[in-house]
Amino acid sequence: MTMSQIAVNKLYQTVVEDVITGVRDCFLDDGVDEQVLQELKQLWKTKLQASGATDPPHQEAPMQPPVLHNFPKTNGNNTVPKRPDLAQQSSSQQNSGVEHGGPPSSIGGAHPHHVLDPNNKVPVQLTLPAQPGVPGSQPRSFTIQIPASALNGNKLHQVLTGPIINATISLPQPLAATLLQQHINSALAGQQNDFDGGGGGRSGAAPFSLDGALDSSDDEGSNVGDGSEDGAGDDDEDDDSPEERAEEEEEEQNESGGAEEEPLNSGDDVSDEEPGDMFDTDNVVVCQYDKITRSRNKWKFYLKDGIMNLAGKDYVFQKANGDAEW
Amino acid sequence: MSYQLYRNTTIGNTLQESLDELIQYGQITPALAVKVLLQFDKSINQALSNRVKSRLTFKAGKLNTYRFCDNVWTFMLNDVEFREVQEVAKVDKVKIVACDGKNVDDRR
Repeated sequence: MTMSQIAVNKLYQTVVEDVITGVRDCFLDDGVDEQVLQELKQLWKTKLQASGATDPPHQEAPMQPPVLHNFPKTNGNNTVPKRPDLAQQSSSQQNSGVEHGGPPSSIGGAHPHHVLDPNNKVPVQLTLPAQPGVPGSQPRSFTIQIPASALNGNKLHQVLTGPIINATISLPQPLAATLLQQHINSALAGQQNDFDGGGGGRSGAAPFSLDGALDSSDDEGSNVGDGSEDGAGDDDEDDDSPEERAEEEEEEQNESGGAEEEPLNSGDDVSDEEPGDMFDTDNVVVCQYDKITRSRNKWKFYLKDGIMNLAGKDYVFQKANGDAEW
Repeated sequence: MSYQLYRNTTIGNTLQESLDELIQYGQITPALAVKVLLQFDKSINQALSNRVKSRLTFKAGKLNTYRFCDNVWTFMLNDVEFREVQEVAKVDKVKIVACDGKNVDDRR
């Protein structure tokens, strides 16, 4: 499979260049600065790389796990980032010696009222490790707001997966903080929807939504707890409870009327994938068929122009023929 | 005519995430993002049909589910072995989504 994987890198680079070149005039027509176009290219490339899907098979880029702390005080000094070579991306969630979230009991001591209401936001300090291979890069700490309920049951572990950390690690601090906050908000809101039985045909909120359903820049309520000391990431923070947010989403959905053309990425694009699954290693082949035949229970598939994601790695093929029995 | 199904891949999803961010920061409009996605559809369709040369075969232990709707086939296969010359990749489960390879243009 090496061939098809080497091809992926080249292909993606070509496509990125091609798209950026192809839309340059559109940007000009819209009066959007060339700088923004370059930013789009950079973001895209960074995210592609962070996805790990194009990593060569035998040299996985080691990735530091995020270091999570209960917010003791605004003090990042007690955070000792691990060396990059000690951590493997694949095991970043379970990595030994890293303090995630912390037991609920310790929160109880510090902020008893937070525990009483699971929807209360608890400030959690999060430290992104220094970027491997970037000289002069420093570990960075910032504070994000998380519903107290999320501290139970390791929800944070499920939400803060390697890819999202990878995606934020190279961003400027305010951007990274906001992005993480949004990711957590939407992921937790998505889980909440699941508990409510979902509904509305929309199987879950995509972590990033072009239609603005998860608009997080609305009301800036008072910050619960002492997280406000860290102004950096808090501007866009959304103090709605997950339920309220879910309701707002529902409303937006109703307003959009369903039958009309849906805004981008509004659920039909993300199809039946759960919000968390976006980064999961689901094996998917997206392609075109030349011919599909069946004789009794024996099927044959003649496929072309495919992109496969197998165990988190991408492959491409011009032709793929296969068979199976039903 | 370019298929939009490749938006639901790593390269497509990362582009959409990037566009989302730029929209959220007010740097581009959703309309411009749509144009970018349409250009992506064009570019990825072209690139796949012109630049990719690899061929592979696969054999599935079981075709679990199949569906044909709006000219799109969806298959869920179990115990699949992909093979490219000597190399083999095995997965427990794979989902295949396939659009009609005979584009409207080609049929004329």
